[in-house]
Amino acid sequence: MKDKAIGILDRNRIMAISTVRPDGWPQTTIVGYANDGLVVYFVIFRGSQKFANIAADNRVSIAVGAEPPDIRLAQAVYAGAIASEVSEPGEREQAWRVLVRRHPNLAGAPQPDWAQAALMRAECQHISIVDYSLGLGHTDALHSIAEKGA
Amino acid sequence: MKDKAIGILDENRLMALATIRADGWPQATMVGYANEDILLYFVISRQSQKFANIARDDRVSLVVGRDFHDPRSIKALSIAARASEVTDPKQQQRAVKLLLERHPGLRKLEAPSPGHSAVMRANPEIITILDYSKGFGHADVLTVGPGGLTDMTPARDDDWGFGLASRPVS
Repeated sequence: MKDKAIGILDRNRIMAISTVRPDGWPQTTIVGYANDGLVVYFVIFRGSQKFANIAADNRVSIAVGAEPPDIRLAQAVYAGAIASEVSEPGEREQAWRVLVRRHPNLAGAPQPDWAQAALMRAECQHISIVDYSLGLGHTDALHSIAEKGA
Repeated sequence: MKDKAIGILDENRLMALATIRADGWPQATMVGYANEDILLYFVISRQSQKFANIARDDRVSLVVGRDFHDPRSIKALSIAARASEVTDPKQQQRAVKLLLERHPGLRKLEAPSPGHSAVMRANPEIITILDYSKGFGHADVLTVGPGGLTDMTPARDDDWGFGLASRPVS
């Protein structure tokens, strides 16, 4: 089941990510990502609302899933995740390479100015896998998968 | 600018919808929608976490957009809205009709039973329009006031430090 979640993450490259504003209102945006297993990397602007939101509350939620040609083929991954900045230069280099592989338009371009942009990681913990080929509305839940090492 | 927002809603039919769980954790899921002007309709299960979340806190956030070949073609909306169940039978019928028109594939399925599914609406309060054809990270913000009037706050450009270096996806 863990492999299935990773498979869906591997086949996509944009996600909706929700953070919580200080006033308690959710905020959702679309960002490009690349994943290494159940760790998702993405880049956001330091001046963005979501960067501030994550600094105040690191609990985020991601949704990944392209529109299927038939609703009965729908597959998606939803995950509650803990987000944090990747600030160690070596790890950031590695994460940037993961992002460039998934987003070839980034290849050859200079890396973002890390004073303005932040490379972030989200570690998926509470995961739901939607797979309507197993029945409309079929959802499997994997809770605290990272903690249990399942 | 409002027409532009409606145009983007009209061109899409799938949104990511975030609600807030009781423990304060956001929850994002993908939901099909149909819109009438800037009002969005969608159907969710009464057993779902998000139905419970909305019943407790009607503040939702939704985003509409799609993958791109050229970053300069990005057009997307990020919307703060209040969600509620549609209980008026006429409006329910209207919502279901619009949903079936936008999602013809749903006709293959049985009609949702009122005991199982809830017809919902999301009323936008703040709409952020991303239009990267005007520059990477370009965003216009519309505030929807009572009476449907809209005010626009100054546009901002978050270029993520990419400057003009963003290139089409090969």
